[in-house]
Amino acid sequence: MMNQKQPTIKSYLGIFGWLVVLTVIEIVAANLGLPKLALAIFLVGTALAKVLLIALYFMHLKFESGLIWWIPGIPMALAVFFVLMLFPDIVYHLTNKY
Amino acid sequence: MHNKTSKKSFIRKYIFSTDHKVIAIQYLMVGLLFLAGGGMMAYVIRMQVANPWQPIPFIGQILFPQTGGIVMPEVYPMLFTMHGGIMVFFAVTPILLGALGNYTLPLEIGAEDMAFPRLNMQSFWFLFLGSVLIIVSFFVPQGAAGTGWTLYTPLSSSLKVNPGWGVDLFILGLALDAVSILMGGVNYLTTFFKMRAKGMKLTQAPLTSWGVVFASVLNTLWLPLVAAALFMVLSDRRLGTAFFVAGPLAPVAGGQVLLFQHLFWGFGHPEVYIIILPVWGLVGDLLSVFSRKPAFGYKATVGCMFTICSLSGIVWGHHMFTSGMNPLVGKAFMFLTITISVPTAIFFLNWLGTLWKGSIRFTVPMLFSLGVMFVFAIGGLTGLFNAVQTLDIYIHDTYVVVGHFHYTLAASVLLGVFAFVYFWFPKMFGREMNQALGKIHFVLTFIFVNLVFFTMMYVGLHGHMRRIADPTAYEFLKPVQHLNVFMGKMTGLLVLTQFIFFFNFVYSLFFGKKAGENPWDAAGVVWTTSSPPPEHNYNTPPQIYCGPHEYGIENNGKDYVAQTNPKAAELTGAKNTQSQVDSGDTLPWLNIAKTGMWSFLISEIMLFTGLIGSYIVLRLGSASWPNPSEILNTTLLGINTFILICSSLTLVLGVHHAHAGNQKELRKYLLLTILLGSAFLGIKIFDYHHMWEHGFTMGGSLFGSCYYLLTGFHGLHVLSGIIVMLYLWVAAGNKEFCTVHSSRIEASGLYWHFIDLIWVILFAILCLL
Repeated sequence: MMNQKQPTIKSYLGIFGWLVVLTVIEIVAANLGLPKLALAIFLVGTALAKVLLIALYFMHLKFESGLIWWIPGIPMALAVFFVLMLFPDIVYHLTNKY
Repeated sequence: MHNKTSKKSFIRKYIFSTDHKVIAIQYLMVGLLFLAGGGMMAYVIRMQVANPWQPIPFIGQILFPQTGGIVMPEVYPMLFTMHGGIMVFFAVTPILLGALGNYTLPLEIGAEDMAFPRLNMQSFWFLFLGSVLIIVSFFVPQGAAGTGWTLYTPLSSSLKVNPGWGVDLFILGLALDAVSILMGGVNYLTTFFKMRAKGMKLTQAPLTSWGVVFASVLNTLWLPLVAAALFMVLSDRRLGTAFFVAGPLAPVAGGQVLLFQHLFWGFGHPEVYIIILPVWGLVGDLLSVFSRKPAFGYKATVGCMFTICSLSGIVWGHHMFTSGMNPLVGKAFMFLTITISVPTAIFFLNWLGTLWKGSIRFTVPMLFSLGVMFVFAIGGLTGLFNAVQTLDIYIHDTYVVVGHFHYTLAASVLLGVFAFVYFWFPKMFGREMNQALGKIHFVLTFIFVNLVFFTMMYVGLHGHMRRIADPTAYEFLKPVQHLNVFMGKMTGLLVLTQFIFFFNFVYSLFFGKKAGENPWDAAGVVWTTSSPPPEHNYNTPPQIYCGPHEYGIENNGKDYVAQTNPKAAELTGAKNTQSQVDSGDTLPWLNIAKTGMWSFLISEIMLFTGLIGSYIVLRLGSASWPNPSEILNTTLLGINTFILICSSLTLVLGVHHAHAGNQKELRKYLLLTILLGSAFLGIKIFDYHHMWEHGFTMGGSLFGSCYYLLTGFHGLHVLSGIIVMLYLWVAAGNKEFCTVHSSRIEASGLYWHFIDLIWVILFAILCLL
């Protein structure tokens, strides 16, 4: 069933604030000269956090039935599977990492 | 519910119609036309292989007058390429998804039309435009594409290998076809899950509808993947990038030929099931109708469709066993592929269970259904051999594979198409096709199909390679050349046999026996409306009381119970009493507009999976990659990110006011969103110009290729979003729109936020990392 608690204008502004802050942090982090792997983990983490905020609040996933998660969930799982299956065949193959 | 036929001009009624039945017939006609064209190419191919470099009998002089009816060496690859492409994308898919899906789905579930009738019409016209491009491609200098229907790179992606516009037009034609299919998929899914007649539970929907639904799921998920690949091929050809070009042909290092194969087969294998699932569903229903028995194991059959649908998307690698892929990955794909045989076998057993002890009526649709069973059994069993990695290495690229996929994709689909046309013709046109001619058509088609395709597998076992124009050039193939001659003759007879069908089709349209509501004594709800049905299908909304396969039950001299029979529960022992009726809406918490949009967003997620996934793989596979912050203006990109986030905020505020019925505020925020989106695009164009002037071009490096293609594609999405917002802004000028259609505004908002979300990912992993 649909979640009865609906977002308010205040909550939208709050999410917007978080998105801006996270973007600023990303830009700063990218210019800190961090090791590549650490930067990658950090940027992917912040990007996912921003994606979640947009999906949950702006796209209203938080306020819909829990079943709606299946709709974006299935293609996203397939997307991850697809890309991972390319790793042994292309990435490691090319760089001789195995 | 509409009970009057509205008066429309000829153009609105028959050309730009939004009626799903008219659109289905449009699809059918285009599909049959291309089926005839593709069939003619098959005949030319077989005659060339049978008698190399001899004039093609009967039609050679017409097709190739300059060469005296002889197929020239450079024309042969075009023939097998266009034969494959046309048959798969412009004949079978339009007939089975466009025509069968459009005609049967709304009628079978008791709906008055598709969920989005205008989108449905546009879907057909996108296919039509694609068809035009395909036809035009035959007449450009250097002719049609000769890359093989799989468009393998670098054959397709390098202008040095294939410079003609034929390949580009083929790709653009396929892209338009893909858009058409995706639009259809969104429509089918929304219609099925939101618009079933009152009382129709999911488990009371006909198997044909289930087949269309699962095919649509596969289309929505996997078609965008190949669409992404096609755009990258086009970009390699015309924009100087090198995603799929490697070695001496590549302008820059780092391109990956194998990546294209993964992307292509990521869609290519599900395509087999996209085509076959509607046929399987149809056969499941027809076996029940003409055995006068309920479909055996109905729920298990639907479950098997679901399982096949799920597995089909993760087995693509078995098409690439000989590509030099990682053996461990190959083993995983082999195991997954063989697993598919389990639900397929259950499916087949359920068909046999339906036939067992049935009162079989050997009507023409039933004969074709039995034909599908036979040929699919052969196609399916030979598939098992191909799935075994060690064996496939020997038979890959031989006629064994060609015979196998023609059994599964050509024979079973062709017979399925005929089963569909013969069964649904009375409902479509109000007249019956001639049964005697139909039976002759079946017997001859069945014989010749088997003689051609079985022989293909036989010569394949002798090592006969596919796609060769002259087998006599190889000493080891001379002992089987007589079989090529035999196949040529059988193909000619198979083509000739189809004239019986075309004659029967045209004759019956005008002179066939008039059909009543239910010429087949079928139990489905669709057989309770007139033939052909009225504009909105049912004069009164139907109420469903039981499943579609209630046969073998004594009911006032009939042996079936119609789905709309109020006494169905009493007669069949069904539990679907009035107090327990299903609303026909599986997703009551999601309105139609949002259901459609979410279905569309699934395809968008997969489109960007193709693009972003390719970028990740290319980058990780590259020996070196530049630091983006040394090339890109990250400050400017950061400002652009801020602008897009602002636009998401303004839009969500607009939607908030739309729900509150506040028209003025809605329009204000929509306008702000449009302005912010435009600012984003303006800055993007400035950024491109600046970068380009400083030498960071699309074809200069793999990073440049990825950057411009990914952000360019995203930019096109922003532009589309702006156009949608402009439409909403204008429409919201009408106060009624704001209050009545707030769900449309919210659904469009989902699209905008999705664009924002994609940029958030691109900004982090492409621009900063």
